[in-house]
Amino acid sequence: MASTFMGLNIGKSALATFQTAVNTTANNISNVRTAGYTRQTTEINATAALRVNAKYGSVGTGVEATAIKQTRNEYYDTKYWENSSSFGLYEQKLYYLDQIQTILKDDASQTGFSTIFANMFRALDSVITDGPGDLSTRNQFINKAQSLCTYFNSVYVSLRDIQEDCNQEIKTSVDSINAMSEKLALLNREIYNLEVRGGYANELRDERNVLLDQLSSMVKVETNEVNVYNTNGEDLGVTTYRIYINGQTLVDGFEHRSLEVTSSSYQKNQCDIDGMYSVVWSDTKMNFAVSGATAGGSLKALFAMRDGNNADPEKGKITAVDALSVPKTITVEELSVTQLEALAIADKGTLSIGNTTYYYEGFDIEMSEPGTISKLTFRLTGDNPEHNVTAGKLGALVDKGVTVGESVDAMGVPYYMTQMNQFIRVFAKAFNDIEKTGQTLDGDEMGAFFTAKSVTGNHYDFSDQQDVTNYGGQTTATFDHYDSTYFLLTAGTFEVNELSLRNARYFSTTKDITNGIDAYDIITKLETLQKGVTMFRGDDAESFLETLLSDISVDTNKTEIFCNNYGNLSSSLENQRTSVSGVDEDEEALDLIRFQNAYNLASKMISVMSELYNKLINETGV
Amino acid sequence: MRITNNMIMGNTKTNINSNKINVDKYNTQMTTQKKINKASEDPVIAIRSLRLSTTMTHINQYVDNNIPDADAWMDVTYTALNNMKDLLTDIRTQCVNGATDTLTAEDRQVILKNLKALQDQVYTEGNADYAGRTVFTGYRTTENLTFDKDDNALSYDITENFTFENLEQHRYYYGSTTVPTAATVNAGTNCTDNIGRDSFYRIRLAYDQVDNLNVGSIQFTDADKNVIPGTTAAPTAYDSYEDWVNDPTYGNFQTGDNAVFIRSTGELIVSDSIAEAAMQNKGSLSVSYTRTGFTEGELKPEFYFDCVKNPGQPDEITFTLENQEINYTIANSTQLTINTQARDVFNFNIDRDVTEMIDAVSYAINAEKKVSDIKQMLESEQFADADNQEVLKTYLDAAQKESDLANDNLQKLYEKYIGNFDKYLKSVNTSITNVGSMQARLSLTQNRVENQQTTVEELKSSNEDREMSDIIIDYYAAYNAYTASLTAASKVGQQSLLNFL
Repeated sequence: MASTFMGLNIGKSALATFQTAVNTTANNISNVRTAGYTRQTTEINATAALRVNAKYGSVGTGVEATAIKQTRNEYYDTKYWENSSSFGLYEQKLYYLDQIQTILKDDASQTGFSTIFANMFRALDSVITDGPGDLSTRNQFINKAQSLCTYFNSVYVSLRDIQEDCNQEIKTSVDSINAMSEKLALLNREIYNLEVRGGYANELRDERNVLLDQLSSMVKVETNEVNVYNTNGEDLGVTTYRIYINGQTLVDGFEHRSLEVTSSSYQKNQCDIDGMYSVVWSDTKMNFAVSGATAGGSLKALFAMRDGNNADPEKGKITAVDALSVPKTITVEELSVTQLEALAIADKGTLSIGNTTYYYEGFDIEMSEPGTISKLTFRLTGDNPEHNVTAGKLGALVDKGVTVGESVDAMGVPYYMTQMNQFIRVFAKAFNDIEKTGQTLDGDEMGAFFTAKSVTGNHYDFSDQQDVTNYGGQTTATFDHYDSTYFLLTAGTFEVNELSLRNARYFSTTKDITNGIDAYDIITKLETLQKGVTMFRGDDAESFLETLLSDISVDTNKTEIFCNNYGNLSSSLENQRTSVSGVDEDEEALDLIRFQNAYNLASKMISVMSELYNKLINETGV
Repeated sequence: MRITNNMIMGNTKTNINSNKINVDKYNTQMTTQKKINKASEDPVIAIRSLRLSTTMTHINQYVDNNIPDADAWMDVTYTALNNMKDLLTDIRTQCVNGATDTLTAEDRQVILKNLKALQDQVYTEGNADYAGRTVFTGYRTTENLTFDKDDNALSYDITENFTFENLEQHRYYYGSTTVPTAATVNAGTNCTDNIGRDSFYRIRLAYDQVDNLNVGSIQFTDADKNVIPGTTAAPTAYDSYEDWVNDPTYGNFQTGDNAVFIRSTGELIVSDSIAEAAMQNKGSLSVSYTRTGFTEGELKPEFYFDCVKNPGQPDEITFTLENQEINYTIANSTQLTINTQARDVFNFNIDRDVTEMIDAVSYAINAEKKVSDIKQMLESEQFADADNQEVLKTYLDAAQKESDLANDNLQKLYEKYIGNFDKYLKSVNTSITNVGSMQARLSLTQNRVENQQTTVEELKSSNEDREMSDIIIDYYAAYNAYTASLTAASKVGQQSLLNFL
């Protein structure tokens, strides 16, 4: 026989349980708009039955709320994070590609390369029709040519601005990854502390997931949650939570790691900005894998846009080292890029040989025939670790492959910069070579029409490189990287020579001015440079922008499509996730009705029991 | 699938946004009327549009600039050539007049006056200019074809090339009657004997008043540049034909391979043996000579010959004769030579011919005057006595002979020069026809290029522009979808079960 007051207790348990259930519902309803909030449900179980000394054996003892649990499917989280890093990658890439595309735009709203280039040649043709002897027409052409230079100068600046933005954003991203890393480790600890005493740290877990959502848009995130057992193999009811970014551990339980950026005075490509950041782990100083196949997220996009050279850096084989000379040198042959016009290595940069990075401060270019590089000799700096550059270590490098700078498989700022430089060099060289065969209006010899300016205000007319055509009886000619060769000509240094700008007479239109000032044989030759002469990637000069624009627009278009796809996927995954874990008002309202009814009934139960006791105690047998 | 209110709201939000994107897209299209705003929206359209723009720039350059320029240039050329034609016709008329056998003294005077007036303007048309650029002077568009002012110190070494065709027989007249005075009549001089005519083969240089030849000997060469035997001679230079006649060797000239150079008239005279050998072997001859002092209106040598200006001076300039065609690009890979070069129309022989014509007519007028003067003397009281009459008669005979020779020369020369001027006229007319046909070709090309312009414009438009009506339809469709999604959104989420509790 059960206790007389058992019914009252059962009623009480129901009151308490449904009170809890109603509270959970209240919590759900109040958090209906909270970001990242997961619907909680009260688990209601019958309490253990009581064996009584009666024929029916055991009686139910009531109800209890055993747990308040999240309804969350971790599979969707994993999927969401995976997708989010892809979405973040393409979204970030699109942002910068759009900017490059806008810079290169040439349409009714913005004057770009094609228009400026066509105008320049139109002015050149007008020099014929208005008379090459006419100073104002000559001047008009020279100014149009200068416009072309200014155009490239401004594109150069804009591209470098983009690179600078990427660089700054890399730093910001790393800072926020570090902040999150710390917070995630802290959350892990709090969750552990709460859950070790039983129950679930629902709100903290939500907070952790929100953080991981954010983190996953920057880097590729993977997590691993394992139960913790004590030495006897008993489950402690708590878990250790590990977080990996780009395949490397960021947080392991209570421990977190952090990244740091180091700015380097060594560049990867010729026109790179100064002080580019590289990201390393603070504890091991090892490189953080930002661009590998395991990487993702906006950080990968930032590096791709900042360093992307379409996986086409200078590569070669080391044929000689000189450990005795000061500075020590490494000579590279069998080069992948042999055209001087296409050379895009940094003045002061890095060599990757195997897994080791060597630093150089300058190099010599050896040409076997004009414009064709046969050999590059790099001068190593003192920044190299001592053990790297011992005679033995250097000697072992011979016959090994080397990559100058870094190979990044994306069309980023360096790619467009290199393409532009290559075009400018080929075009300027062809133009200058024709110009130099002629005479100025004063009958003097003409020099280079397009020159390169340096930051120090010097002007280079590539006279050094001209010498190689004669060889001086030798089969090769060697130049330093700072010698006056076309290597110095970039979009940033491109200019019309000072003399022509000051004096329109300094521009050759004919081989022999005594034939008459309106002779225009040189102009006819120059005009062929506009179209018909293969100049850039198998196409003529006026198609340059078309070639470049097709790169950027197809790349942007592709990125846009990916961005859209991953965006759509993102929202559908978000839908699926909320479909499981989201709060629904109608559902909660129904729960409210259900639990309220149950509570009401339990309360009625108490009154009924009260009446029963009243009857039993006060009225029975009195 | 379980759908929560939040999901409905979220999806509604996404849908409204995608509708808004459409509205924005068509709204932008409405203002720009372009299919795309960024290259990445459709790379194919973007790049095709770029290519068409470039083509358009080329065509615009042809249509707006090169074709009108070429046309104006050729208009100037055409007018100048027409003027030249009129001038040559005028000179030819004088030739016809001079070739008539009955010329009165007045006729000759008129011819002389006309020729002198015409000679002054023979080459002025050669200085015609278009927008400050002389049109007949090749690439030297800032220079006139002729000298602008007299310059006595200016000197040129000129190398002139001739062929056997330039060898012509020319009549030379020597001796001159003087009109006797009272004193000379009494002396009784007879001067009939040394008046006469000879005919020689000559080559006339482009210039008269030549300083000297720069070569010691001349020789004709054949097509293979080999010296033709019997054509080598060292020319003896004389200031004038008279000087040569007075030289005792004059009579022996034809007895060997001889040559004579007359400075004042710029003539190279060769003996018949040389001329015949040269003609037989179709020889050609190169002569280099120096001339110092040029007068206004004379042709500048650099437009006709290889020459050296101011030889030996610090400002020495060597000119090499070359073809100086000015070509304008008037359509894609179509070039048009717009200029006519002076040496094709302004033949330097014109001036030389006119000078010879003037000389001949002056000579005739002069001789005629002598005759009439002597006749007058014959009739005067002073010389009425028989002796004087006798002497004067011989004078008259001499003068008459001179006059007859002069008249004969005048006629023959002018007859010959009708032919010459027909030739000059023909070459001017050919040039006029050339210019005319060039202009016709230009206008055909213009037509074609303008058509091309329209075609490219249409292509460009069909490539990148959208039909307004299409945009409007799309815009309204997008706008309707947007409003509909707003209406739906306003209903959804208003209510939940909580409202009914």
